[in-house]
Amino acid sequence: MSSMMLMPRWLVLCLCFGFVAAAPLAQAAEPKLEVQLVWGTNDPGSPNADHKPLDSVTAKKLRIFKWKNYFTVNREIVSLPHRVPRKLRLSDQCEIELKNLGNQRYEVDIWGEGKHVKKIKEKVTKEDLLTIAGDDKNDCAWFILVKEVE
Amino acid sequence: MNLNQQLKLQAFLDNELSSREAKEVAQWMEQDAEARQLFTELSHTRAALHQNELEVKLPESREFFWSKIERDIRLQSQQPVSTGFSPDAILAWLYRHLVPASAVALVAIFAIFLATKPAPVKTVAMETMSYGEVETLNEEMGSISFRSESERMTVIYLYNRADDSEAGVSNDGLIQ
Repeated sequence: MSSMMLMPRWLVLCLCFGFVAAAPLAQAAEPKLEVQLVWGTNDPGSPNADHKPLDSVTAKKLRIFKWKNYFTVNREIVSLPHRVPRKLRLSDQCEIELKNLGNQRYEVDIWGEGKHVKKIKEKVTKEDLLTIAGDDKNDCAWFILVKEVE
Repeated sequence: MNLNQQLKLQAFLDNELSSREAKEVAQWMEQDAEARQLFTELSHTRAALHQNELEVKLPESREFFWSKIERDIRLQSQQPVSTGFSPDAILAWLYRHLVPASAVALVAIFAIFLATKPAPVKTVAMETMSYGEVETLNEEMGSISFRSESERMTVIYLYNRADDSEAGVSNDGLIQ
């Protein structure tokens, strides 16, 4: 006699219903991350005319730094299934790989000019921003801003 | 002999019959040997029970025993009717209701205390505390990590160690 035959019919129905109900939930749980490469400078404008000023809310968060103006170089939004890494090229020099570790914790690997530089694990939410930054020439700086989005 | 006749014999033995019935039973027993035999057995049984019954003697006289009961009844009837606000009643009520309620409240407070962490106090020291889990894969690159609770932002600032040794990079240099 199979084990299915030993289970009560109501239990089988409940399990089936549970699987069906859980499927869309699991899909909905796949988070999206917004990744921005930002240029920080004290100059009034960006050297590249294609760069747009960073949105005021995010720029306000960066006021703790010494630079006055911030420009978005690149902006990407990626869906991150659990434990599936996604690689993004943000510029010619900068590449990152993102991995969803669960519970809003993410792993970010950074490559600079082809060299694997850092691996960072941090909690990222819609409100908790992860900022990875570094100095650049002419007293400017680059920023990689990572946050969850809807 | 049926059950009614047996009961009649028992009643005759206990002198519970009227004179007419007693006369009828006596005549019946004279004619019926079985009835006489049962009557004899019942008589013997009653005699045995009477002779062997234990006599219980009260340690005090009957009058004194009943006087005690009477006194207790009188005392109870003389006690004032409880209005619900006597100190004993209030204490009893508190004990009955407040003790369990306090226990439940204590458990709830403890659970809330465990579930909620106190909000971090924003200080300058916290703004520059180390944060984030950073693994260095390239020895040439150093990093400074800190978290700004006011901006809800974790910052990992990367720098070239060679530049650091030449020019000196400090946390203060990054922040306004």
